[in-house]
Amino acid sequence: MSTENHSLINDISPVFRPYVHNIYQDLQLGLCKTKVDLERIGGSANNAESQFRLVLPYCSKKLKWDIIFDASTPWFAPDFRFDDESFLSNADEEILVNGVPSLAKWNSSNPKSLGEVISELVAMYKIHQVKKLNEDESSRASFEYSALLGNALITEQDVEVWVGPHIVEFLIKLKVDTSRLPELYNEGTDQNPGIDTALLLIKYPNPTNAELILSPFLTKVLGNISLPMMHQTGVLMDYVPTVTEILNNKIQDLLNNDRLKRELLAQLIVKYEGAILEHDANSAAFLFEMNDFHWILQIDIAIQFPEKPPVLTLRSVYHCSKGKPKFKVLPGCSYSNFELYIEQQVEIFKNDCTESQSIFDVDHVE
Amino acid sequence: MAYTEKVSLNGTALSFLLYECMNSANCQEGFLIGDVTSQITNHINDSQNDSARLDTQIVIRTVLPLPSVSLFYLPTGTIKEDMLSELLASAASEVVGWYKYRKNSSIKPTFRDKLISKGLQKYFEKYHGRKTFVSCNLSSKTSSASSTHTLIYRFGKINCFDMYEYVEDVTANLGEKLTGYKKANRVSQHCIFNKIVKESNVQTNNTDEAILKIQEAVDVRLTREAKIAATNECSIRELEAEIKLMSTILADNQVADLEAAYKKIVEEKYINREVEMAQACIEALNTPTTVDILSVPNILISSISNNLSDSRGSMHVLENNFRKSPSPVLMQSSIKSPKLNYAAALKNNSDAASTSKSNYIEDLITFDVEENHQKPIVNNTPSPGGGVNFDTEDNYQKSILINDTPSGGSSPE
Repeated sequence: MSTENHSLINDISPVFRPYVHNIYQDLQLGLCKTKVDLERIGGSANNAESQFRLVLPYCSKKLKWDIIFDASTPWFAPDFRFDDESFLSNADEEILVNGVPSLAKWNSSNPKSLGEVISELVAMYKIHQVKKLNEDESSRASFEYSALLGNALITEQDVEVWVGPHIVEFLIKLKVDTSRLPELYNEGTDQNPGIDTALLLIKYPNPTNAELILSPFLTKVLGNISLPMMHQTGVLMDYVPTVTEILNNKIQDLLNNDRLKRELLAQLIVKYEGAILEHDANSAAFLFEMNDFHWILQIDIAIQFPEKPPVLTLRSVYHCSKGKPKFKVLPGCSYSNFELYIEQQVEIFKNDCTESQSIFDVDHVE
Repeated sequence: MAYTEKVSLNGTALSFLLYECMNSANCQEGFLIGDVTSQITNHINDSQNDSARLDTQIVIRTVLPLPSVSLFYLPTGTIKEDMLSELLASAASEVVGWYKYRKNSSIKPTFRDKLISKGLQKYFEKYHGRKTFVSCNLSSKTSSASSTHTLIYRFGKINCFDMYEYVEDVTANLGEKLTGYKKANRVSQHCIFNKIVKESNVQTNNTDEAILKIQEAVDVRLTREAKIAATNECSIRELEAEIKLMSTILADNQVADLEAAYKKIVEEKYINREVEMAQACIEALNTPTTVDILSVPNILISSISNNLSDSRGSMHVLENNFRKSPSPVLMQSSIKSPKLNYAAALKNNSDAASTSKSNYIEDLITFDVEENHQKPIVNNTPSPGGGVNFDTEDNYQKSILINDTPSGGSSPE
């Protein structure tokens, strides 16, 4: 999608390109602060497009707003076409001047103008949806919304409401503490482009199928989380804190496991300090010797430690098979009698290596 | 009473409108000039009531294109009334609608189009007593080889519910389905043709002469109008050239301003990034220096021995077996001494730039560093079967102490 965006941006007339660059690069909208996408409309073949479609994230939907500039009067503010007919359909001047001040006072020499207008319009759209929700005061969704906000745990900025013909959707940002997660994983921004957020999507009139939407990083970290079912009579104001707690507990567990892992590794490394060949945050390799037989022991500790025990691999320094050193993954890891266990396994390994007689021979190296 | 509203354009008006639009650069807007006539017709149907129907017809005679877009309104769609009255001058009383043309676009009205329509409706109602006002949206598309040109247009208005609704339009010979009797279009009583007829004072009994006389009068009038139109067209061309020149200058200025501002922002971003990187480096340098673990005299592990073996006895045996491997000699003593933040050193060696806060000590391992290794092994909580138990909670302290004094003979080297 991004190459298409780039080609579209290059097709837009250079007169308006700074505005488009700004919204494409800097504008981050929605609860998960995603970037916007651009689509082509019109279909003129020349390289001076002055209109395009903006795809914005909102709740679980994507809003498609057309933005139309006029090449003969480039200093004038752009025009918009919204996909929701009822939005701003009978706005009067005051509402617009107060709600979208960047449009009322369009500054044509500021590249950020368009971005500001879009942000303000999205805020107005949110207000419009909430107004639509509250039109029917007696509905369950309206009650849930006011109860949720009244709880003071979730603020207005954390909830996006979308009112459809027979459906009301809430997208709620959960207050999950991810501040310490980067200690565990550090993938870089191409695999995790957004802020780490966990969102809960609830649809009325059927709130039992709540959906948890996690950012890619959190999906990797937390894996599959099964949410408790929300009863038909359950209230959001109780359910949301429950889910938040589940996520926070899981993160805490992960951090604890990681701490254990690091401690284990550190202690192993310190204990066998002279023997260490290499180590990193997840594994360590040692060179040991017993009865004049040397071998390498590699300890790999997985993310799921301590549920999954560390994997021990013995590697021979003398023998190789198929061009690689002979190795054996040990069947288990015994926490007690560790050294005895290793000793026994090494004996077996030594016998395995010597009887298959592929002694490391310099002349026959492939 | 039922109520219908229709727009009717004659061929000349429509072609003039389309000509103006297609010859504009990108967008064009202007006003539609014509008359509104209403009549009440009685419909015959099966119900008992007399169903009278008020038919309003908006006849568009001609078009007043504006020289440039966005002259009479603000970005929020508010109408600039003084500009409007200036632009329209004497033609204001005959305006029945406005139009907006956009090349290569959909004819669905935009957010501002609707606001302008509403504003104009209010303006014309207020100042000129117009009850009906229509908007027209036009667009054109060209196929890739410029062989096919498609023109689309639609009329509409803002109704009393503030919603945009479409108004049907009727144009002679354009998609008309009726092939039977065509009713003559009703013309207003004050139209020019009627005036000419009155002025020529024809006697209706001699129809041949009457027709010729009227024809003459119409011809005279037409030539006169044509001359006026020719001179007007010349001045319009000159004015348009001037406007184009000024617009280009303004547009160029604006483009230059915008480009300059954008370049400045990009540069700033770049500089900021550099500054951020420099600051991060400085911060990294200021964090506590790593400790060379091998130069620290005694590193004692408090609980590892307990966790990795069941009893002291077996451990000693293993110790003997492992003696040849250069493991640290200091297996046998323990604890309760100034701390060494080994994990900090570990982390700086091995991990990529992690963002852990340095004062969050809880997950860092601290080991007791002690010179005297004669103390017995402290039995911490015995390990339950299968689980690894590290009991380093007691030894945490907030500060990092490094034991620099070299003691004799107990370095792992």
